[in-house]
Amino acid sequence: MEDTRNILQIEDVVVHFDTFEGTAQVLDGVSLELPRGHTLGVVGETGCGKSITSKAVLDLLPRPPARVVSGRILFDGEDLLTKSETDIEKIRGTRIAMIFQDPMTYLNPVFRIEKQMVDVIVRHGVTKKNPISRRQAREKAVELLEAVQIPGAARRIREYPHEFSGGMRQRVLIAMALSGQPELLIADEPTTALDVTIQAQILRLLKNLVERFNLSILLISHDLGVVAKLCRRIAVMYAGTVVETATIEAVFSRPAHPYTRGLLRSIPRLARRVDSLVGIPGGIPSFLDPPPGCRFHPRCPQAMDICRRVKPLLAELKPGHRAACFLYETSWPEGARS
Amino acid sequence: MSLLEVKHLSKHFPVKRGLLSRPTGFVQAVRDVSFQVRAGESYGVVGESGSGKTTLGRTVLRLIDPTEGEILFQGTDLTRLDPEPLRQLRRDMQMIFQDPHSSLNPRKIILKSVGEPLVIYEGVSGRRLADRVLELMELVGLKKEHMYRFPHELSGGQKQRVGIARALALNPKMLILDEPTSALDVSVQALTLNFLEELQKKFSLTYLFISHNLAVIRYVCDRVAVMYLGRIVEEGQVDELFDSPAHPYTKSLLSAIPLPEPQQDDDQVLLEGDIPSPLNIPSGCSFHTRCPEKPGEICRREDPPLVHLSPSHSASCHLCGSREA
Amino acid sequence: MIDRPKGPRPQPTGLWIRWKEEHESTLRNLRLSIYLFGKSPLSILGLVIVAVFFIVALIGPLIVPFPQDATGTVHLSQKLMGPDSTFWFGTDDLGRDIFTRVILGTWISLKIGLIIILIAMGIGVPLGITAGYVGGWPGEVIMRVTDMFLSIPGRIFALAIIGAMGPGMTNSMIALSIVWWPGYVRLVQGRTLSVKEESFVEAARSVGARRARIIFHHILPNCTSVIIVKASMDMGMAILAAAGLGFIGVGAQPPTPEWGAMISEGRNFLPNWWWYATFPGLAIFTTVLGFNLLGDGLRDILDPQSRS
Repeated sequence: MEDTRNILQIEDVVVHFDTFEGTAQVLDGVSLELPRGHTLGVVGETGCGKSITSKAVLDLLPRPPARVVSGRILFDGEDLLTKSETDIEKIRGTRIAMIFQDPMTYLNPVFRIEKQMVDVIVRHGVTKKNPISRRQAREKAVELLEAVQIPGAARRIREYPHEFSGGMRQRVLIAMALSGQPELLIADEPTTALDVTIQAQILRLLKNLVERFNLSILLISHDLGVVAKLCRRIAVMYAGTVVETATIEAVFSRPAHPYTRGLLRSIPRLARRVDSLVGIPGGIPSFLDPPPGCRFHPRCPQAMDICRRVKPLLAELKPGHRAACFLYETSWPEGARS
Repeated sequence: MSLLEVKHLSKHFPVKRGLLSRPTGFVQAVRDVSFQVRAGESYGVVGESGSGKTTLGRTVLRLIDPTEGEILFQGTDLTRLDPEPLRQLRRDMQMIFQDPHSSLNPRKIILKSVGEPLVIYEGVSGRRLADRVLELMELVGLKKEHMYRFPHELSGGQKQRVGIARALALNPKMLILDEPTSALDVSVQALTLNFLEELQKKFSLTYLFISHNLAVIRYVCDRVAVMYLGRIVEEGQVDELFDSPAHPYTKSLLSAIPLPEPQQDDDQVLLEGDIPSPLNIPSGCSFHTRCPEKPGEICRREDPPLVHLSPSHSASCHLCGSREA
Repeated sequence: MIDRPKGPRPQPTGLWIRWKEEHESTLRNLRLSIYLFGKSPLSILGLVIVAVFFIVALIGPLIVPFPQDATGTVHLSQKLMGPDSTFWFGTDDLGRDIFTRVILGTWISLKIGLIIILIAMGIGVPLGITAGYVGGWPGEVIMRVTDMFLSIPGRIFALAIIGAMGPGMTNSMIALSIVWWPGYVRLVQGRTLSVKEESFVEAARSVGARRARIIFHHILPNCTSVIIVKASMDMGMAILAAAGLGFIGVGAQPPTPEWGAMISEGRNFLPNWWWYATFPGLAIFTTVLGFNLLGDGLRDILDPQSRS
C-alpha cells in the first residue's frame, strides 16, 4: 500500500545476478520505508545486499549480470523500476543524489574542483529546465562548499582533488550531491574510509544538513554506531532480506531478531569492559544455493522446524517495530496463526 | 620482565623531489617512542592516520630500519644485528597483517603460503610439510580442503586465520598484530578476537596489538598507548586510561567514537580541522592546532613533558599535571 | 579364510595423490578461465587462427604438394599461372607453387617470431625484475639504458643493425631481438614495483624469505600474466616486423620462402598477376590478426579486475 508520507518505499524487491556458476539470488524480497525528512540507516555485514539495494534505487546495477526480477521502488509515489533510462537520468542528482565510500575515486584527479562542481551544477540546470550560467554556477558552488564547512571555500575551489584531505573530499562530494537540491540523499558507507575524528565531523555535518535542507537520508553502513549517530530508524539486513526494522532505541534496547541480537553482542563496547563478545558462528549462505525458509536458520541459536521450510514475513510485532522471525506470531503465514 | 623494550625509536622517511632526488623534507612517522611490553601481556597501540602506529609495528620487526633508537627483544638490540642473526631472531617475532586480501600471495595455494616459514627455516617438504600445515590449519579452525585452495576462494575471515596460522608456524613468542580485524565484519571480528585471546593463553604469547578501534583495544589489551603524529601522547592500564583519560586527544578520540547506543551527542568533543600532515608537524605539542582545551603559549613552543598520573598511567601534556588530584 | 591382520594399507603412489590435491584448485580456476575466454567470439577466432598457424608451421613440410619449390627449383614453363586446381595459389615468376611456399613460410615466420620473443623476454624480464626490486643505482642504470634503446624508432634501429651486420635471416632475428627487449624491461619493472608493495611480499620477508626466494616465488609468478599477454601480442608484431625487413630485402634471402620477401618480389607483378603478392600478404595479415585477438582475449581473462 502506498504511503505518501514516505519519500522512498521499497517493496519486495528481488534481484538476481547471472554468473558462471548459476544464478545468485542476492536480494530476496527487500522492503524498506523512508518517511520524508527522516533518516533511515540500513545496516548489515558483507554480502547482505545493502549496497545492491541502494544502487538499485538509481538503476546503478550492472545489467547484465544483474536482473531485477520483481518488486517496486516507489519514489514519491512513482515506481522507479518502470521508468526508462532517460527518466532516471533526470532524477539522478536532481531529486535523488548519492555519495559513496571512497571520495578519491569519485573525483576526477585532473580537473579542479571548480570545474567539476560547475559542470554538475550547469547540467542540473539543464535537466531542471532552469538553465544557469557558468558564472552563477560558480557562485553557487562556493556557497555549497561553505555549507559543508570547507574553510576558505572561494579560494579552495580552484584546487585539485589531491590537495584535499579525505574528510574534505567527502565534504566536496556531499556539496556536489546537494547541488541539484535533491529530496533524497543516499549515502553508501560515506565515512568508512575516514578517521574516527573526521568521521564524527562528517556525521555532525550530515545531521545539520538534514535540518537545514529538509533532506531525507538513506544511510548504508556496516557500523551500527555510525547509524545510531545519524539515523532515527534502522533496518537490519541479512543475506538479501530485511530482518528487522525499528527505531534506534527499540533495536538497541529490545532487539527482536536473533541476528540483530547476535550482531549487538558482537560489538566491543567502549564504556564498560564486556567480558566476552559472542560472535555469530558460521558464514553467510551461498546466494547460488540459498538455504530454504529463513536464510538465517543455519546460524540461528533458536531455529525451529518451520524456519527450515518457510520464509518468515517481515511483520509488525509492535507499532513501528517489524521483524521477520517465526519467534513472533505475526511472521507466521495467515491461517497458521492461532 | 619486559620481552620487548623500545627506546627512543624514530623513523623518518625522506621525501625526494627534483632531478637529482634530493630530500626536500621528511615524513616524521615515528618520533622518539619508548615503551615496554611484558611477557604474556597484550599491549595496544591506538591512533588514526598519520599517528605512525603502522610504521611503528613494522619498525619493531625491522621490516623497516629505524632512523634512531633501540629495539630490545629479549635483551638483544635488533638494530645492531646483521641480516642473518636477524633472520634467526624473526622466528620468535611474527606479524599478522591488516588486509587479509593482500597478505597472501594470490598465485600460491594456502598450503604453500602457510608452509613457507617451515620451508625456509626448517627445510620441511612433501608429506611432512602437508602434515604440519594441516596441524596449523586445524589450530585456527580451518579444514584440510582449505589448504589446497587459492586465497581468492576463501572469505576474509578465513584468510585472516590463514595469516595467523602462518605466523604461528615457527612457534613465536610474540605477535605483532596490525589491525588484524579491521577488514572483517563485526560478527567475524568477535570470533577472531576471542580466538586470538584463546591462542594467547594456550601458547603464552605476547601481543603488540595495533588498531584504530578503541573498543577492540579495550576488549583485548591490558595496557595501551595512544599515538598522535608519531608520538605517544598517553599510556597506561586499559581500564584506567579509558575511565579517566588525561590527554585532550584521548578524550576527543573517545568521544568521537559513535556508539551503538541511542544517542545523546551533546557532550561530544568535536575536533576542528584535519589531522596535520606528518610532513609538516606543528611545533611544540603537535596537538596544539586542534586541542579543544585552550592550549597556551607553552603548548606551541615546547615539547610537553611526560606526566605520571599514576604508576601505571602517564600522559604527555602541558595541561595535565596541574589538574590531577 | 585366512584372517590377515589389518595393517596400514600401502598408499597408492602418494606422489600422484598429492599432486592432484595440490592442483585441484588450479584446474578448477582453469576451467573458469576457459569459460570466460569462450565468451568472446573474437578471442576464439584469435585462438583458432594461432592454432592453425602452429599446426601448419609444424606439419607443413609434410603436406605441401611441391616441397622442392622452396629450394631453388625453377619451372619456367609454369611461370605466372593463376590459381587453379593444381596450384591453389598460382605460381610465381620462376614457376614455383605459391601455396607450397606460403605454407613453408609459416614455419619460417614461427621460428623467427619465437626466437625474437624468447630472446627479448630472456633479456628483458630479468633486467626488469632487477630494476624493479633492487632499484638503486643498478635500477637507474638499467632503466636509462632501456630508455635510450626505446628512444630510437624500432624499425630504423633494426635497419641500422642489419646495415652493420649484413642481411640475412639470422641477423634480422638478432636485430629485432635487440629492438624488442626494452619493452619487456619497462613492463616487468612496473609490475615488479607494484607487486613489491603488496602485503604478501612483506609477509614473506617477515617469515624469513631472502631476496632470491621473494623474486622467484612471489614477484615473478605475479608478473607472468602481463608477460604472457605482451608476448602473445608481440608474436604477431615480431612476425610482421620480420616480414617488413624481408620486404626490404635484408631479411631472409632467396630462395627462402619468407613471406615478406615473397611480397617484395610479387610487388613487381601487380596488378595482373595479383596472386603472387596477395597470398603471402594475406598470410601475414591473418597471422598478425590472430595473435592480436588472442592477446586481447588473454588480457581480458588474466586481468584480475575483470574477475569478480
